[in-house]
Amino acid sequence: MWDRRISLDDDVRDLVILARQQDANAFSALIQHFERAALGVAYAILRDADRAGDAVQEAFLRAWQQLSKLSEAEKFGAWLMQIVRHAAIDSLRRMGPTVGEFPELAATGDGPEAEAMAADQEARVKAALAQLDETTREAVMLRYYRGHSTKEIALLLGMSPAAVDMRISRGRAALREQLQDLVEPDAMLRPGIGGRP
Amino acid sequence: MREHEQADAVIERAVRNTVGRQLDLQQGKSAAAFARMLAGAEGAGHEHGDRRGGMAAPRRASEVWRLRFWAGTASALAACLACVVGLQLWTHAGSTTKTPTDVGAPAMAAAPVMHQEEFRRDVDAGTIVMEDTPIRVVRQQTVKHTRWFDPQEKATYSVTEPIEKVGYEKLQPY
Repeated sequence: MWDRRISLDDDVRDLVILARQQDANAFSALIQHFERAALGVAYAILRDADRAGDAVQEAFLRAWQQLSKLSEAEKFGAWLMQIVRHAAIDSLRRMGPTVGEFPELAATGDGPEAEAMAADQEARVKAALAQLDETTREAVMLRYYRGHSTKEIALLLGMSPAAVDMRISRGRAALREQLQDLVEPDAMLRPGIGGRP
Repeated sequence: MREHEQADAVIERAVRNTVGRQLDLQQGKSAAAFARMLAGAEGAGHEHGDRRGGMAAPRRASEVWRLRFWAGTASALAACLACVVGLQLWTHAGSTTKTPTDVGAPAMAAAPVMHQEEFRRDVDAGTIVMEDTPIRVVRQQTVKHTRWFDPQEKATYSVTEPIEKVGYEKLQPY
C-alpha cells in the first residue's frame, strides 16, 4: 500500500505508469495526492461543497477508466483537472447553478453570538469568492485551500507561472476590497459597512 | 505593502477556514467510491471466472459502467412505458360516460385505482447578501408520489417525482 506522502513529480509519474498497468493501489495513492486540488477546482466552479465532492468522485472514476488515453504521465495533474472541470460543468448542466448556498451555523461552542458571527464571516467569504472570475477562483482555491506553489498551479491549470501570479494578485486585491471588514474589525462597527447603525 | 501582506494573511486564513470546513468533509469520498467500483468489478470478475479481483482493469470497469448504463436505460424505458400506460388508463376512465348498466362492466373494472401523496417541506437555506440587501433563501422541497394499480395487467405502477423551488424573501435590515 502507498502510504507515504508523495511530493515529487517523479513519484507521481511512477504512480501514473503503475496505474496505467491496472495497479489500483497506485491509483488510490494518486487520488490521495490530488483530491484536495481537485476539490478546490470543482468548488471554484460549483461553489457547493457537496456537489464538488460528487463531481470529484465522478472525475476520478472517469480518469481511471480513461487512463489509457493519457499519453504523457507527467501531465496527469493537468489532465485530471480538465476531467474535474468537465464533471463539474456536467453537474451544473444536470442540476443548474448553485443558488445561494449558505453555510449552516458553525458549531463553535462559543455561544449563539459567536456562532452567528462565524456564519456571517463564512457568508462574506463565500460572497467575495463568488465575485472572482472562474479561473482566478481556481488559482486562489489551489493556493489558499491546497497550498500549491505558483509552479504547481501553473502545471495543474495549464497556464504560465506569470499568468498564475497575475491571477492570484488580482484575486487578492478583489478579496481585500470585498473583505475589508475582516481585516479591520472596527469597520464592522462603522455605520454603512455591514455593521450596526 | 506590509499592510497588504497582513491583510492578505488574514483573508487567506478566513478563506482557508471557510472552504476547508466544508471541503474537508468531502475528502475520502473519491477513494471510497473507487474502492466500491473495484469491489463491484471484482464481483463481476469472479462471476466470469476472472481472477484479477481487486486489480480490476480499466477495461473491466468500463464494461461494468456500460452494463450499468444499459440497465439504467432499460429502467428509464420501463418507467416511461408505465407512465404512458397509466395515463392512457386514467384518461380512458375519465372520459367514459358511465350509465347505470355500465356499473360492474369490464370498462369500469379496468379503471386504475389512483393514490397520490405529496410531502412538502420548506428548508431555510440561509441568508445571502445582494447589493447590501439581506435576502433569505427558502428551498421548497416537494416529493410527489403517485401509485396506481392496473387490474388488466395485475400490476402496480408508481412514480416518484422530486420538485424543488427556490424562493427569495427580502429581509428588513435593522
